Amino acid sequence: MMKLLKYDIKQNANTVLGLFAVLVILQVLLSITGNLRQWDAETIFGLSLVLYFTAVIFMLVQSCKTFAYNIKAYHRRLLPLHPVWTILSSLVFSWLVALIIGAIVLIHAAIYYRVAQVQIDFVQIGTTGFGNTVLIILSIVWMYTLLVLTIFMAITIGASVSIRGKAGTWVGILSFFVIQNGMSWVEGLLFKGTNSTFANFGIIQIGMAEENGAVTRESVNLLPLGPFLLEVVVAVLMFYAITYLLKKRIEI
Amino acid sequence: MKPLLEVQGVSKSYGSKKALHGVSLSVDKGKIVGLLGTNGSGKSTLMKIAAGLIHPSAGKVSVDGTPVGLATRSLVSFMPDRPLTESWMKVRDAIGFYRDFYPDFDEEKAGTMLDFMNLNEKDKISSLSKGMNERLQLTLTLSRNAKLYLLDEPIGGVDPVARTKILDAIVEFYNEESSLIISTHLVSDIERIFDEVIFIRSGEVVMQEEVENLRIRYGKSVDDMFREVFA
Repeated sequence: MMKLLKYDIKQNANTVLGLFAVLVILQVLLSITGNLRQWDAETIFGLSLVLYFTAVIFMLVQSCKTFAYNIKAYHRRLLPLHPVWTILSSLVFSWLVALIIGAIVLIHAAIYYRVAQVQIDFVQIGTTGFGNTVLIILSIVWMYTLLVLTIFMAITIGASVSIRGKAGTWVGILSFFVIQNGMSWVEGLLFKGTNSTFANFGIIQIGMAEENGAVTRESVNLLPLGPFLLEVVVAVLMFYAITYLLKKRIEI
Repeated sequence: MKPLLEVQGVSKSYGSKKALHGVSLSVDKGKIVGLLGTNGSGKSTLMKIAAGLIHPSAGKVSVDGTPVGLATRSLVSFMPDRPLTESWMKVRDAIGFYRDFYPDFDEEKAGTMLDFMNLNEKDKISSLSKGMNERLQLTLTLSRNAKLYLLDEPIGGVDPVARTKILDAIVEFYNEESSLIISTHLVSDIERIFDEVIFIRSGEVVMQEEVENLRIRYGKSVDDMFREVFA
């Protein structure tokens, strides 16, 4: 798997490094321009978030394109390796690029807090202990993983439907929405009104500091137990289905 | 002696189009076999089935007694009609890729073949000409110590100089303990290296014969027979 990952990284190195360079340059330009022109801290923060969000989307697309390429490339399909490793290497690659963006965000935040000593008082994240902070991070990683797996599933279904023409692409897009909405529908059906919390992550407030006193403090429960277990089952099923389709259905 | 490749009643359809229909053939060890047919006759489909890239709609295929699948990928070395490399790679990266994933890859043989083919390890694959690219794909394929080599149109679309070089390389570096199947429609250039030929037309095998028998029995060269069968 690590060898496959090595070639996924090499294959994407130029694009990924280029994007990270552009991201850092844009963030620096935004900070300089924002401070010189005396923009509101909220405006700079908002634009910064937009840039990071765009980078995450771009990297997600790049990871999915890599997976789509790998399942159709002769030299990859001919390898004497179980298809599970193809899925895992692409999944780990998607984690890796997300991790790097996360690291850039942390460095950026650290520079603001420690070096520039900029007060970001319009966002307050309050959690009940270190353990719950870890759980927030894990829940975000889980949501991201589930999204990536769903896209991989849709790509695989599309690729197994047709090897010629565009039919497969449309079937793949349709599959993605069917899986996403199907999962939400089943979650709603099974767990509507129940309060089986897996973890209570405390409070996240967004707004001006002086406003926060007036804003309703809402407890954020990102990962309720029931839906989480359902998602685990769906993820395992998707993983199995992708493996099956790669072995039996996808032809190049 | 058990055949190295055994194809029994294989059919393959793409929608309503039948690419192969009831194909049965066998290839023994130590043979260079020409899979000959016009464009669209089903050669590439049969090659891909033997390599495990696509699945037959009906019938069975086995390599060295093992049904084609994950287990036979380490027995078969396939050179398809598309690149086995990625656009970012240099020649040495392609060699590294094969070394990393195929335990039977012979790096020393690869080095010798690169010299023979006038390929430089530092060359970028995206800058290679079609002929040089074909030479590289052949180097990668033949540098494995596989039991069965499948070459799909190895001389298609390359100039006569590259064609000669590729054919010389096949003869020079072919492992005599294994078998080699070459699909092509450019018969006259390549017939000198065949031990046996299989003619495939509209997805059906119309003839499988030793080249020597073809000459003795029909008094014709492979090229003459090809023209007669496909006229």
